[in-house]
Amino acid sequence: MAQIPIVHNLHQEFVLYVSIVDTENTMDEVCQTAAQLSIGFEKNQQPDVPLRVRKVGAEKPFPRDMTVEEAGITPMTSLELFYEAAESASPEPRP
Amino acid sequence: MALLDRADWYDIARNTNWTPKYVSEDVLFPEEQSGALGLPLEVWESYDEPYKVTYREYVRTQREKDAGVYSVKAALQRANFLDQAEPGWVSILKLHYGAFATLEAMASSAESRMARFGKAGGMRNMATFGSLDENRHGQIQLYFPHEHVHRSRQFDWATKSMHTNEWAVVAARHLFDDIMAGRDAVGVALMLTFAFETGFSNLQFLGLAADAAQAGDISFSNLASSIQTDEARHAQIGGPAMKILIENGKKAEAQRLVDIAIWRAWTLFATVTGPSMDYYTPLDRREKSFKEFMQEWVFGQFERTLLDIGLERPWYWDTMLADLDTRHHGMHAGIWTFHKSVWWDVPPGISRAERAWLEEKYPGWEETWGAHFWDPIIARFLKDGPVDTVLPSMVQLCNMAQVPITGTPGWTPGKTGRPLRDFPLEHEGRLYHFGSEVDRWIFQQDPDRYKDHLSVADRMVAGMIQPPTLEGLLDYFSLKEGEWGEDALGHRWLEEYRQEQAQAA
Repeated sequence: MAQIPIVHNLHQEFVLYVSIVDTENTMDEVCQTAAQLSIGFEKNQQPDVPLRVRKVGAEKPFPRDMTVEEAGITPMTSLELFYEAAESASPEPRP
Repeated sequence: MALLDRADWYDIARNTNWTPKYVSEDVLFPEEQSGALGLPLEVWESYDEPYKVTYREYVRTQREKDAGVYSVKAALQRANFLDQAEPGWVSILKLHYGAFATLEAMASSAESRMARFGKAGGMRNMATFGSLDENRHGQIQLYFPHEHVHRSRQFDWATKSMHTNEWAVVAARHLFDDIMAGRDAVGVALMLTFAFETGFSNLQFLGLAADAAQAGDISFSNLASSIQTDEARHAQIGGPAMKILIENGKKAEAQRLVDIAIWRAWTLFATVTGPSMDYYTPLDRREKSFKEFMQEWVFGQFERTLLDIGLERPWYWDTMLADLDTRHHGMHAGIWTFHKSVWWDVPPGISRAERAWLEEKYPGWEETWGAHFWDPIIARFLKDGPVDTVLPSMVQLCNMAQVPITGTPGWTPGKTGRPLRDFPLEHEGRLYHFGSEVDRWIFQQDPDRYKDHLSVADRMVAGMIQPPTLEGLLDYFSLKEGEWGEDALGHRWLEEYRQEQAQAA
């Protein structure tokens, strides 16, 4: 159990943030932490659609109940947080 | 005593190279300082500067320039223009002086490197004057804001800024260390004088002088014009050097240095000039948008200069043009939101009339920046009252540009702008983050040059900023109360939206 910084890109935000998460946090908890930071989040939120997390450059998101440690997320890893429904809008070219 | 015409003696006098007898050429002009890419002295003798001037002529002209600028300042000092000036213009002045005054003084050292280690006599001659120019620019841009320090301590940042770790200052230092303080003579000629000055700052000072005149700031307009005429001269040091490099098989090396410098200059301009033109300048004084200015003057004219001299467009040219729709809007959004992190007061620039102008100049602005950034903030302010906005967490800064990594909010395919994304790179076990593929490419050109630098975000994560709070960060930035930026309009702009809300109710 340790706190580590992550870099995250929240769906439709304008700036990348650095947040501190716990290695025991699940992906859903990571999303919750990140979402609280976003200025534009109220406008962008989609209450009925879960946010998902994936590494920048990866195609598939991590399972929602997977922990940061289990996902192999190391300090300053860059993550994308996106709504599943909005995946087609993702900027990252998929491998 | 009769004087010879300049043309009768100049070429011979400035080429008085002698053959070194006691040391080798490599010792006299060490490669790490001269950067001549192995080209010997005789090759550099063909250097032909387009703007020839003698010391006598230089001193006479400069004396006249100084007399003009200082006398206008003295005459207008009692008019107290600044007390009636619009807040946006005052912010532009504070930003300008803090960002550039001491950098110009530092440029004197870079010019001196060319004056000593340039292998071409013409380069050394012009750079000697360039060094004196930059010394003058440093002095004059420290002197002019000094009279305003009693109005606001923010003007003191002309002197103070470069001695701090404020984030925008770190970004500026990183850039100018790369293209100026930390380069050899040829590197400075190509990156500072050719790419940065010819392509960007010479035009910037032209624009600034016109904007100042529009704003009624005659004193600053004269100052900017006076500086610009120096820039127009010494910016021409790089062109003849480029010609020699291309003629002697060094085009690829020259192109690489120019490509690095143009992108880096662009990111600085998008951070400083973009918000100034599109958000700070009072609406009725705006002649061109930042995008129009860049397209016409910088990218349009400079593209022709590049091609004429025998270089190619930088490989990222289209990326840079597309960036005109995103980068400076993001810089403005970030700077206004965290206005406490800068030394000038930040106007939001989003009245209904200003938004209509932004939509006209940047079609799609409303459905992205308007709807996904400003409207949520306005809604929150109308609900809770204007709160002191601070970015809610540390933002990730680009490990090259040292500015926040931004994208167009609410972007979806088909909309203008570009999406927010990171361009990470792992190098020797450290994970770096970049705001664009170009920033990442620059790093990859010479990782040893850049790899040890820590962005302000890296410093926060590394525990170097204590306590890791807003107060700790402002203290790290050396921003005290009275210095840190506020909303330049004191949130009075919100009244228009309040009235809209009342009418709709």
